[in-house]
Amino acid sequence: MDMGHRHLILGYAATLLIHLVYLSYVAVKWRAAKRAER
Amino acid sequence: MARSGQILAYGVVLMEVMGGGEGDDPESGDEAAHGEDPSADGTVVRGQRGGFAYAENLAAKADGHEHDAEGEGYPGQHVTFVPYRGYEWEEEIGQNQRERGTQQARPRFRRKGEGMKLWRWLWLLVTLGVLAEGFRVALFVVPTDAAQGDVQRIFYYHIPSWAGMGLFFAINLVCSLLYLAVKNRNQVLALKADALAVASAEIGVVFCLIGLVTGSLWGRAVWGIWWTWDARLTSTLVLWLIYVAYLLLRRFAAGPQMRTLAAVMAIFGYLDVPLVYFSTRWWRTQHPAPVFGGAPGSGIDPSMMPAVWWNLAGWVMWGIFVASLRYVSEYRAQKAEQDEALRLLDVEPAGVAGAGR
Repeated sequence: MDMGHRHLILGYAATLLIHLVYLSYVAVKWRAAKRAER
Repeated sequence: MARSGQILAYGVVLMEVMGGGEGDDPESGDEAAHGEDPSADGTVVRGQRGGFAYAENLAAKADGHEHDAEGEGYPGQHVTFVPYRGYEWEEEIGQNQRERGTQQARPRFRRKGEGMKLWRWLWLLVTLGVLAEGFRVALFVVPTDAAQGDVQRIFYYHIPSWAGMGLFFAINLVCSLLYLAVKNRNQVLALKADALAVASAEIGVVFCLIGLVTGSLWGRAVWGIWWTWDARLTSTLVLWLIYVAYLLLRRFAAGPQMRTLAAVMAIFGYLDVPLVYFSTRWWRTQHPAPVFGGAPGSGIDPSMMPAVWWNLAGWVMWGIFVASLRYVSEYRAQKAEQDEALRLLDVEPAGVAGAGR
């Protein structure tokens, strides 16, 4: 695998990872808001 | 008369409480389960403290006299009233809802709440489908770039990140302006604008970070370096730092002026967006010249455009989905915070509040 392919895959992985981390944060906030509401 | 005034007031409040304000809440169906059925057949009404207080306050006004601390709710039911003298904006809500009529409000809202949840799931499904198709087209369908090889395909998720960033920072700007414009006139709208400003800033920061990371990966493969301090990269990094500072301000600043400060900061922060956009036009940069809207002859081969459109649509839809979740949770948190503040104001005896001063 050359550098181009490696970086292409790394880019996809980084994109998904960052979005998933943020989605986790959103889920935590969602739950906290529901708890606070109750 | 007293009883009818009380029932009317309960209807007003329950529309607000169950409806999550304006029907934006996707979990409204769940919320409806928090309290018991407030129908006129005498069911106990429980749940939102502020709601009770408000209902009781309206009822007292309708009756033309002050309320008791406790009393009878619907026929045969005993409820505890919290003395409440509400803010003007809550009075506005009540007035609007009284004008609209509340008899049909709750059933209509329940259906709407369920629809919103379904709508959100459908949106997620379509988004994932579009993203999957974008992935397939970008990697396996469109031709390989003759000069750069396969690493050029980073472009198909690099560009959508910048598009998402531009979109959500623009939404943040509009919401910040709206917040400043209406904060003294319409508190509900101001809080909604503020919640959307937070949500859009966060997802904008996420997209900006992805753009920086994927651009750096591309630069390492094509230029041989991870980073260079040219105008485009530097102005983009500054933009990311500005919005991170905006979020940190919101996170750590306290007091009623926080939202105003954040809105003002967002307006000034957005000034960097056109700077980023025009940086490759105004200055000579190592960053490639604009692909879209650049000089004559710029652009990519039309056979590559499907990958651009699919990924652009997919990532923007994803951003809208996540931002909508974040908006709802932020708005809920704000409402809960206000309810709590109002409750503390209401139940604290005057003697205690003044004690020790």
